Amino acid sequence: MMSSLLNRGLLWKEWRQNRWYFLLTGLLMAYVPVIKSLYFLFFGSKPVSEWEHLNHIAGFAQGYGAAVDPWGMVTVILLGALMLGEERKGSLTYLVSTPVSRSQIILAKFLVGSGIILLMMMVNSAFLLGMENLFPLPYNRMDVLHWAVLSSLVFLGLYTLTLMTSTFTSNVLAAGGLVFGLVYLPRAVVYLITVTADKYFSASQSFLIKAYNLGSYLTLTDYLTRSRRDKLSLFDASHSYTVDGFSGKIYPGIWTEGLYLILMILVLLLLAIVIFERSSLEPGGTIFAGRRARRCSGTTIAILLGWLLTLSWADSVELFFLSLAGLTLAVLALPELFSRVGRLSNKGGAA
Amino acid sequence: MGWAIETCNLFKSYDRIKAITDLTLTVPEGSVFGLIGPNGAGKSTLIRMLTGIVRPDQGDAFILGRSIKEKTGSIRQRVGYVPDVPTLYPSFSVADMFRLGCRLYEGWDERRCYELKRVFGLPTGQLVRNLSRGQKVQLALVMALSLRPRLLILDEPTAGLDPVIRRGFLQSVIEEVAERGTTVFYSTHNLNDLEQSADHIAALHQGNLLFSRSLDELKESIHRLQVMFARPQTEENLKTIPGLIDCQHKGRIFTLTVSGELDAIKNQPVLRAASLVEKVDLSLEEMFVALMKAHGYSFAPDYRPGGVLSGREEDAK
Repeated sequence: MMSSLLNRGLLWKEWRQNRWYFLLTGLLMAYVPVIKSLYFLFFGSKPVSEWEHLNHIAGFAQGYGAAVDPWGMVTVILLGALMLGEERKGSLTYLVSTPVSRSQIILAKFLVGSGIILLMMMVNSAFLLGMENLFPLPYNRMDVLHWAVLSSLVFLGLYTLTLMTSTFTSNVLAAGGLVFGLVYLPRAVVYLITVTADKYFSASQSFLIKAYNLGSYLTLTDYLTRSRRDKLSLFDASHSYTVDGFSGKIYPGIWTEGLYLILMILVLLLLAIVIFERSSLEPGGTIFAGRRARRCSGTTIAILLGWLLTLSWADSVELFFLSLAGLTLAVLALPELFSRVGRLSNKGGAA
Repeated sequence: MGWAIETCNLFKSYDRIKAITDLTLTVPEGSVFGLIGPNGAGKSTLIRMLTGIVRPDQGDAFILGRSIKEKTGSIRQRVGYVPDVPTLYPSFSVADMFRLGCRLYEGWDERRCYELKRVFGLPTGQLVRNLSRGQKVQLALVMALSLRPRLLILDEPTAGLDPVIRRGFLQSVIEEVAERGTTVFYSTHNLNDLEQSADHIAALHQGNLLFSRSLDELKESIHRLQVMFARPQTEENLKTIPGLIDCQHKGRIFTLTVSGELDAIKNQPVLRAASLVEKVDLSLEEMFVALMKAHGYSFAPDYRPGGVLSGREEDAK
């Protein structure tokens, strides 16, 4: 089964085609932990214990601060978008006309890209352990292990998410942009749910905390900026307030979180394969290559916008539902309205 | 004889625009099958469906007996494809492309690849992005022929090529057919090329199949007649001829394009009154132009007789 899914020719092609992207990815991923450290070591004046970027590792282990520089996240998103998005320029039509299945194409891209990400995280971890042996640093081996495991899985998650979005977007920019939207989508939805439940249905605090926790576990960046796990903003009739430290532990279970991330990666990979197998590689020119993807994203945006606008003014349950339906339909109708106005003005101009 | 390609009620539309409508077509194994039709007829869409690039909305197609809906790509192990604009890997050298072909196709023939590369004079070390359009088409053809195909699908590959390269390209394809009995499914606007090499022709128009038949049958079914009348005649009188596709006249000399059996046409009362009825040779291109005109597709449509298709063509439609 596995041998029929793996195609060595495709693995070779991915390496040969993207080797310069892989080099760039490696350099950018190693920029903060390795290159920056080496620069400070040879040209810096501060003692090692005061290097902020290494202190982040310790901060991460203790439950606060971001453990990964944004460079790393942007890099893996870009890599995921490039791996399939670049092929949308034309070579994909050649590739799918060869005797390989679409699942083999996606799997080869996933394996080669993931391999590069894991390799670089191993290099970074080895370097950090070496530094910890040589200098008095505020982190230990376990901290590095935890950092390496969660960061690698978050990177792989972002990479797989981008690969998945590339299956229905028509270029690199669209895929990359959509990933940033999707990364924060669970947080946005949970925000809307908690505010709605709190404002219109007087939901209990335990329900709100559960909803928030769920959203947090679905938000990839929360695995890195872990301090957010324990902060929940709530609203009541008169004011907003923050519930802090409700989960009772500063240090969430790394291995449980790792398991969630692995499951998420597998689901995203499966989704990527299923969508890619069904998609027609139709000519580009639109952000979303497929009509279904265009409709789906348009509806999602309309609902979210309608919801957000409703929350700002509706003060009763009845008004909430009425406004939500009305505003969603209005937002959905806007593109059609614009296109009709455009067509009318074009006709007028032509006349 | 089996079918190299068999399509069953294929449908495909792009954003509500129908590209292919209820297409049922068979391509005999070992034939050189020409696919013709005006721009936007659905030829490329059909080919893109057959090669797995585009998914059909409805219906199915079979290549060498296997459904194009099969998820495994092994159906394409013996299918060579040369598109109008070859979209290969720009950052690969010609040698890299051959290496890729060798790794993807089980039946890759290194020796044949080397021979063809030498014949076409392809620069092995040059990057694909630096090749001219003609060289890219040649590279795609060398790759398609090196996998020892049972079916070769060509989508207007010679469009825009100079006559020397075009001739070399066609020569290689004809040799392939002669030596190995490969089926060639060839979409083109160059009907002179097709007339020299094809033995079957199918025409598409607005996603529909107009007809599909052998070249000989086609030539026997459409005729051009020069007719001279002793007395003045009107076009209205000639419209009574069944199967009339086109009618032009200068004075008393009429040039008619008609489909159907020649003797039956000549026996029409209106033609019996003519002082001269002479058959004129009709090229494939002239047949195509006349047929398309009958379907309302012409540069300057000036004549659209009704009921222009013969019974067979109506069936095909």
